[in-house]
Amino acid sequence: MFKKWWVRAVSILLVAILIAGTFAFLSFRVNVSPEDGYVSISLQSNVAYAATESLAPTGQVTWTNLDGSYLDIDDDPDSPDANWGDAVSDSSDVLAHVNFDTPTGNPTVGAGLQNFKIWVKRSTALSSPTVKIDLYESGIFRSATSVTSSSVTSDAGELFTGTWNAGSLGTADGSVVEAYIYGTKAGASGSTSTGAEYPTSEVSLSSDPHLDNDWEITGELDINDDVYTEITDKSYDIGDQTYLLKVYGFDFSGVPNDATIVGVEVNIAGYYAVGTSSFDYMKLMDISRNPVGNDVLTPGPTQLVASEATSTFGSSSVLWGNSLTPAWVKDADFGVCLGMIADGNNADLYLDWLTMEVFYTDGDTYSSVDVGAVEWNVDYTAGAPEISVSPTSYNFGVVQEGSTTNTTTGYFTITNASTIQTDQTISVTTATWSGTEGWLHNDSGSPGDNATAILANRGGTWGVGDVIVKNVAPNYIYENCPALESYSFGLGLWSPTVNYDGSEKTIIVRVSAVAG
Amino acid sequence: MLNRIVRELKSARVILAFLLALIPVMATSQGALALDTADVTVNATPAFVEISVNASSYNFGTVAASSTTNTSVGYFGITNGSTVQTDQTISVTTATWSGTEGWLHSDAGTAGDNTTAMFSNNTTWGVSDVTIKNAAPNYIQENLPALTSYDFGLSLWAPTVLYDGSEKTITVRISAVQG
Repeated sequence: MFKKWWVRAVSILLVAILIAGTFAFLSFRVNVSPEDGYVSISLQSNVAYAATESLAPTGQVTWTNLDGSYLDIDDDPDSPDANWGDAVSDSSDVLAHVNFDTPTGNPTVGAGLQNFKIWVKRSTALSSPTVKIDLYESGIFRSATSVTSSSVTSDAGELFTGTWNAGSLGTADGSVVEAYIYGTKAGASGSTSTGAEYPTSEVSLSSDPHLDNDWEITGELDINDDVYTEITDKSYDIGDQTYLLKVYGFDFSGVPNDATIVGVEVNIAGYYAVGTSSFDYMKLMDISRNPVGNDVLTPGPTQLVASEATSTFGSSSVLWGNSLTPAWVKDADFGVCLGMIADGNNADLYLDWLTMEVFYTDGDTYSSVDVGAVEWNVDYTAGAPEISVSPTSYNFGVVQEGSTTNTTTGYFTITNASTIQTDQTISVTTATWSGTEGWLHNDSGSPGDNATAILANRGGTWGVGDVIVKNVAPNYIYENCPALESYSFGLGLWSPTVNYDGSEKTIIVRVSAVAG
Repeated sequence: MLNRIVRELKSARVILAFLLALIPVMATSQGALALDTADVTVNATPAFVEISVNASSYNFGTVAASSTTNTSVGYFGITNGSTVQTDQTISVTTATWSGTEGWLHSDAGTAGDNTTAMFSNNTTWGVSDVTIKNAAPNYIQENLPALTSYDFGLSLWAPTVLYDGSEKTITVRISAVQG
């Protein structure tokens, strides 16, 4: 009635149970203790104590382009204080390279078990910088964390958790771990220009010493079209100065109102004929079309050439001696005023076109990273409590009713091999002593009719700091015992006030250690 | 079906053997494992005085006036379960014997008119006999070590004058105190 696959399934199940049971057994400690002719076996969990702790920075290795110091970021990123290491410039990359104290236990090796948690924000809302967190040891790069290039988008603060593996450490105890927090700025300078603009208007007027020859505005300077603004009168002889030519009507409306004007460049295309001629005066004009500032031709004039060529005046960083503003350059009367001088008799000059370009900065869009808090969340494995006692027995011998019998307070030595702090209690393992008329063990420390009590004293003086050895709810014999700190203790027996027989009594006193 | 299961398990006998072999290895390797407890076995023995006698009665039978009748010196056995040194006395619990004409018990160890005396000895009669008294008993063992048992015998000195033939009875007591 049973098919073969059922049989096989049951068999596999039995084997699986045996495997599981065996490996479950592996996780237990087997304690074999001979006692009075029989062997008892007890199983006890072999516990490894996984623990965590958070470490704040205790120093800075490198602190670049941030104000303050590591003391501004040694708080809890999950509950940060108001202090920040602010970027000193929005357009700078920043670095907070900090170190920590040694963790309580060796950091546990495993992917993602360790992490650096940081609280950061961007320094401006104009762009989103990025942040990365790397693991260093003693100034040496060990590994990247999970935060390799994350955008910082909050103006108030945001958390980043960079996980890493302690397997990357060169020093297993984590004593030289460093967090390398690098913020990379984002954004641009915003510098720009209007581009070369042609004018829409030009006028000629005499102004001392520019009194000799009027401009013949037969065309316009508004485009490269071989139609010229010129002087061809034969009276334009050597040393004569032309009227001033005021050129304006440029469209600089694209200049942002909050921009900073940083330069003006003028390009003029022209040539001479018969006799040479030179530019001998050139200034910018204010919004009333008055020449102001510096004459860019000082100290000397610039001569035209025989065939049409372009002459450049000013530059992207020359303001012609003026404090130009966006409103100024956008005014319809803003422009350039120029005059020329004849270098020969019967000189002719021809100007084909003129452009002006305004250079400005429109406020940058930079943002860097401000660092508010940093911590290292350490996952470590603490050593299990490990103690032993010597000697392992004591016989008080024959004790009188109502008597008190003590060992020395250093008779027993607890060798504490625990690598963690422990809380250690002392107890008796049963409520009664063995024996024909077994004593009752009194947890109140009061002997009585066939009832006894035990006290312990840890290396001190009997009567001072005695600890009642109880069966239920044991007392500490050493609370917060430091790792690896051994100690001694003694036992005091308070005999019953009435004995029921003379048979030997036995009880087990146990010192138990747990992580404290 | 069971047979089939057994055959299947046999096919995994290598694994089974390995796993079973692990068990004693683990059981004997506890020394390498950390212990979070440390036990001390504490013993104590109460100071306790405890004796018993193996024969709780003895009948001297019919005794003639002025006669002396002895048990053997090892007739009675005292089992001493005391865990401490003791001092042990021997006495009679009353000043008279029961009976129609009850005998008077002489603490001086002198028999007389309707008056009797008793002695004890655990070596040789006549040598260091102990007078058994009603008041202020004598030691039958002084400074007796703990757990040391012993034997003793009784000797009856009959009255010099008997008033009747009725049976007389008295209780002899061994008392132990820590010495």
